[in-house]
Amino acid sequence: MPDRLIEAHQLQFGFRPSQPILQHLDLRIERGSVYGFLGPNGAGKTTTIRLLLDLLRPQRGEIRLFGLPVRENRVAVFSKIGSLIEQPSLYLHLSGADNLAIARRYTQAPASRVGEVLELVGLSDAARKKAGAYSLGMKQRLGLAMALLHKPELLFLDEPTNGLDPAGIIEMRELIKRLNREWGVTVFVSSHLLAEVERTCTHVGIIHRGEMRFEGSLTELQTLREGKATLLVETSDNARAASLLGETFVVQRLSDSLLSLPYQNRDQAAAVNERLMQHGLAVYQLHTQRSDLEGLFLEITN
Amino acid sequence: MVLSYLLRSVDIERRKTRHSAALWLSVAGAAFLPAVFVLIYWLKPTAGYPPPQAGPEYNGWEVWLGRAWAVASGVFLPFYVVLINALVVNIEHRNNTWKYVFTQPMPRWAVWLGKLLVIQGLVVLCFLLFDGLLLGTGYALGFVNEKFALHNHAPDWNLLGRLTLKMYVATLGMAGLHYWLANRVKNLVLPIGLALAGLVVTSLLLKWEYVHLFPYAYPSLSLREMALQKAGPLLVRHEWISLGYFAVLTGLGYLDLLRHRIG
Repeated sequence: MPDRLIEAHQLQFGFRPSQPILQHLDLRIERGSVYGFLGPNGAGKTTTIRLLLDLLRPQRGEIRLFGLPVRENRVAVFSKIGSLIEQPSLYLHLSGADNLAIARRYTQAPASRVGEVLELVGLSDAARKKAGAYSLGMKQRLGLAMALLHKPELLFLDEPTNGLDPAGIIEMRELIKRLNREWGVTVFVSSHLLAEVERTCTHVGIIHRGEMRFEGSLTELQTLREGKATLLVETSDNARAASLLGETFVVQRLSDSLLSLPYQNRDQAAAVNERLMQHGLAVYQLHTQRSDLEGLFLEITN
Repeated sequence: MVLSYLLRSVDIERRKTRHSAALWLSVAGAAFLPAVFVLIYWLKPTAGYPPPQAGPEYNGWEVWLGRAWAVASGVFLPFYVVLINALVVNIEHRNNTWKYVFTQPMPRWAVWLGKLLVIQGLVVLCFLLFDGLLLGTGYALGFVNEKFALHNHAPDWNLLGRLTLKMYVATLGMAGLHYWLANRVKNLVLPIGLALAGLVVTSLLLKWEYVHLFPYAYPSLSLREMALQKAGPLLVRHEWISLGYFAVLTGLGYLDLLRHRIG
């Protein structure tokens, strides 16, 4: 059983050769993780998912799911995958139950699973209603029920909280965590919202303009954030303070009243304070500022 | 294994057409002409009476069936075949479900063939329903009014069977083209426009020496051939060509499906 469920190497794709959407994209998703595929709108997230699921063909590069090339192993690979790409794909003229009946025949899932997934997504009472009459949240949940019917090992979710109300967003988030924790489903979830990824994912890949800017665990991303922390200083004479501290550190003038220097550790803060005091400067402010993830995300994608 | 995929795919595609316009079109399309002809015979019975010089051997069935099939082959059948192909495939376009279908553990060929078989199943259903309703309404009319010379004669079963089969084969050329088109084009206007143009051109080309290469003309050609000679080979040249078009165009359509982008 391979531990690396998704592996993409040097993917390149563009609808027109002169306008590549993805360039040299590498992806590695391990079994058991919840991988947040993060990027601003138009970064190439949906295109990447379509490539991974063989709905598009890359101009260059290689894709393996469960260690197998997808195109030659469609049935074997797709029998272990569930997906929800962009808006849910539902037969709107049919009831929720009829949609699940179709999904059940595609995946050969046992009939008993229909009740289970309806229960899981909270649609048991609406199963006989036409899918066209469902609210967006209900459609999303029915799509998810169809994707989960055959107990997939790997689940692709493309912006699953788009268009959902706050309660729906929380439900979706909890469901993703539960699927991963209780059923051991590996989840690949794309989002343009960092907060969303931060709350649900164990691993993060940040894509921007078709290129991977960061890939690693959430902890690694948080460590990167620590590394981006700064020490903010305000004194009675900032010009003098800047020249004094500039002998040892890279000092930036953020405004007339505020200087900034890269934060190293607590001792550094004490040393800065001591040096300023020794030269008779009054220190009004001395504190560290950690770059928030939002700032880091913007930094990575700009 | 191959058969198992195919049976599952047909079952799935059949389920998708439930409560859809495609199923209703097949039933309503089959019932429309028999209903119109019943009304004509009912409101103006002389239209169905034998000619004055006809003897007791006059069989009203030939005119009853012949008239309905003549109108059907000229306009109704070609339009029905075009629409049914467009509507069944459009279920996926309209619901944005291609990406769902092609990420299921089902080979693409099985999806392609399953849909094609369901469409052809609906066409056969429509043809058989059309025949059944013509026979049912014909017997009912004969029972109500004996002057139609329907009650005391039997339809020419052999002729009706041949006509139905030949008409079905004649529509296959168009079906091959429109099945491919329906997979590639989301809107319904293009196939309908193409069919309309095809039928207008047919009316101009019927005497053209190469008309046997023009698939929209085949139902009219089959009807003409049946009217001219009642015996002879079951399938004639244009009907074989229609089968050839169907095989080649559905094959090319499948290859096209393999290479085009989805979603």
